Amino acid sequence: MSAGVELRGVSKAFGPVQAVRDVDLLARSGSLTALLGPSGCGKTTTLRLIAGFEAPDSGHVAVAGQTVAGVGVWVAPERRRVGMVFQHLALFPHLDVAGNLAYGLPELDRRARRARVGELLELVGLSGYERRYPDELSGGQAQRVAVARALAPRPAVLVLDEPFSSLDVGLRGELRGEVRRILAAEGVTAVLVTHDQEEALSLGDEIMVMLDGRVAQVGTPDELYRRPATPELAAFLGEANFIAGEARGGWMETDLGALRVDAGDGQRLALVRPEDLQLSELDDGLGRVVDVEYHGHDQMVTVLGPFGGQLRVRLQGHRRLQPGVRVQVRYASDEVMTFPVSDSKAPAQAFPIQASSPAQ
Amino acid sequence: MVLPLAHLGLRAAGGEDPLGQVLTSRVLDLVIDTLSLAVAVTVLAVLVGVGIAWLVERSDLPGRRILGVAAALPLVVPTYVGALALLAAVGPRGLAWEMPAIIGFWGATAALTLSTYPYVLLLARAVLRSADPSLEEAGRALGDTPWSSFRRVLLPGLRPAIAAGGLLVFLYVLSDFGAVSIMRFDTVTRAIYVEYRSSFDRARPALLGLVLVALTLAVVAAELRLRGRPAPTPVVAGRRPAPLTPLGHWRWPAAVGVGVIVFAGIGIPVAVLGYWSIVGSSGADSASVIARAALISAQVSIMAAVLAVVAALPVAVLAVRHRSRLSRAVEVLALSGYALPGLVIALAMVFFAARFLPGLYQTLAILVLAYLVRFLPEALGSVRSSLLQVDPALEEAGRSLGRSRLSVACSVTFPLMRGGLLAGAALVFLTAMKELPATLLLLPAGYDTLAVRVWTSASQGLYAQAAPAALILVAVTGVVLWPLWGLAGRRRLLGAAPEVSAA
Repeated sequence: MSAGVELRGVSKAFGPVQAVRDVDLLARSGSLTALLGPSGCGKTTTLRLIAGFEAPDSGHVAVAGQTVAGVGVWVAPERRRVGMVFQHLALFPHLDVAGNLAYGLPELDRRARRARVGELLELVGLSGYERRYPDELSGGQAQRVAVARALAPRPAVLVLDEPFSSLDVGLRGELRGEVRRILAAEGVTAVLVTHDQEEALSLGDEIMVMLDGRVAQVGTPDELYRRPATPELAAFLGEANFIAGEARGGWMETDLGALRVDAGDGQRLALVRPEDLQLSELDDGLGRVVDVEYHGHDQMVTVLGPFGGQLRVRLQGHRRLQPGVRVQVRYASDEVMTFPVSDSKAPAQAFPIQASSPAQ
Repeated sequence: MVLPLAHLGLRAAGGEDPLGQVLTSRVLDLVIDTLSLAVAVTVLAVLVGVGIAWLVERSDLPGRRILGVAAALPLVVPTYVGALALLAAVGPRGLAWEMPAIIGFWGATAALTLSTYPYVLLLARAVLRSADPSLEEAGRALGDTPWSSFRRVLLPGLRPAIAAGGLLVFLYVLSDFGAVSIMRFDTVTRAIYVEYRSSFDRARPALLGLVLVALTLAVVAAELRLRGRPAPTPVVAGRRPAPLTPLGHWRWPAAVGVGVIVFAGIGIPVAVLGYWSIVGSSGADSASVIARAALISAQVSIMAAVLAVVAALPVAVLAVRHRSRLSRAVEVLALSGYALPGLVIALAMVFFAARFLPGLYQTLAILVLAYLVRFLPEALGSVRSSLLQVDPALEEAGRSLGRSRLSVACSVTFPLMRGGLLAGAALVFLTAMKELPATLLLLPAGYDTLAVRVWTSASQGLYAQAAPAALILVAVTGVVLWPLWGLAGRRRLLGAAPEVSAA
């Protein structure tokens, strides 16, 4: 396995603000790594450290096996073979599409340059748009030009800074698939920064979650969603219910009945995703629907449990429920993932169920 | 730039008993007269400028669009040409009728007010246009009458524009030489020139020059102290045009009032100069003399324009892209030429060159150098703001595509700044064309520019002789300024063409 991008112990501060702390990152050659985190977590700084627009205070950065920043080493951005797609695209407004695409190909002769531009336009499905100027393109077209421009000089690594944030929701999904196809076709190692967990989950081969300048967890999308390292990460990646309780002999007694747990005896916090719950209308059900967010293809139902805690349940293929209806909620998987209670740092509202609460 | 000034200080100190000379009653009189003139012109220019701005932007003044455009036109008339035309038209033995008061203090006040109020007007208009009308409506809803809402809501918003415009006008009057000379009103600048021409004592003009610098610095310092907190930027998003205040009975009198001022500012100069140019006179300059002067004017002004923009580029890049204490210091130093009267810069250059750079003395090069020091701030203003509008991400995009810093600057940054660079060069070109006092001092013997031609004839009372050169000057200024105004409205295409108001 060869490394497309490698960061070792990289830190970067801006004045008193420690933007990136001791970050390690390993992106396999040809893979797409998503850097995911809330704004201000240091993900964009990490990207700019790779591209060469920031110099690390400590640690080293390597691109395609070659150190580009580290002790006594500094390679200028233009010599790193790192292409970049900017958040607001940064297409040159004074150049047409062909001019933008050819910008990074100064050493090619005319014919070769024209051939490469034509090839790229075909790749992104914009043949015939050579003479358009950036302000004559739609958002999605401009997006594709930006990706094509960054790929033109055949970079070893492509970094993308929130590339879809300026598009409306419908277009975003369409372009995600498109970009994935384009990157695969060029076989380029890609690192993408996003604050949108859905984007990270759907695009990334690997996801690196950053919080407060540090790496919080690295893994495949499935690992991150199924086995988050902390309750905080579980809440960050998708919707989550947390149920506190005491595990004994591999079982835990909760509002939802006895759940099989993955840990030994002691106080635990179980992670229950809304889609792992099943709900049925039942006149003498113990739960009562208090709120419904209706999305059409599914609905997110908030259920008040018998002991005063609330559960979020994702319900598919069902007519719209009305608040007040009595329901029965059941956990549909066989085993539940739990966290030790002591290191749970999730905010208070992430603990909607106090299943073992005896009061009432 | 610092060196010649320091040298000027030494020269002044080298005379006999410098302090005693400053404190003579004659110098004190000069200072008092100069300050009185500056205060009078500033107050009038602010009243006229803000008044017209409000009338054309916020009232139902008849013909407000046309008047609004025309009211800014006196900018194209150099002060000495305006003074000359005013004097010729309505001064003693005037062409049209006689108003003997139009000479001396009141003549200078009138001429300078007419040519400086547009600065205040343009700044105030920009504020009135961008101010959110719902602020005033909030005031009205809370019980303000139209007048008290103007006073309590609009006026505080206008204060920065009034302060900036007032400072501009004040400094302009302090450094003006042409209009006061033609109106025969003694100010410090005129005294410097007379002393310099009439005696071989170099200490006296140097001393007076320092007095002028001290006055200027005092005014700038006072403005900085009084400026206080900048007004919060008005909300621009989703603006509706502001409602117009009905003037009632005052509609037509107000329109006539504005019309008279605008006519005095632009109509009289054009009419008088046109009349003389057509009627001609026996003593008129021959076409070849004027053509030669125009050529020299254009030559030095173009050189100054190109040099100023080239010199402004690195300063702007430092100031915008590499902020630090050092870059700030460089910027302030470059901007300081703005506050220095042209006459003082010229004086400093003359003394410095005569002593240390004899090869430059009596060449066009030294004139261009003086223009550069004086006008660098104007170029810097528009170069800087056009650079501010180039997204740094574009430069990073260029570098991530494998191009070096220099290559990116030439292929991305500079092309995108084109509009601002052009505007900066055009501004410097215009002001250099009109510049009089420094040119008078530094122009080598045997050369003439249009401005000098006009002044020489006018100072001998040969108004008709001055007319053709003055008319060409006004026409050139107008022709160059016109597209600049258009540019200011179309930022998207040309980056930026701001600071036109500070022409």
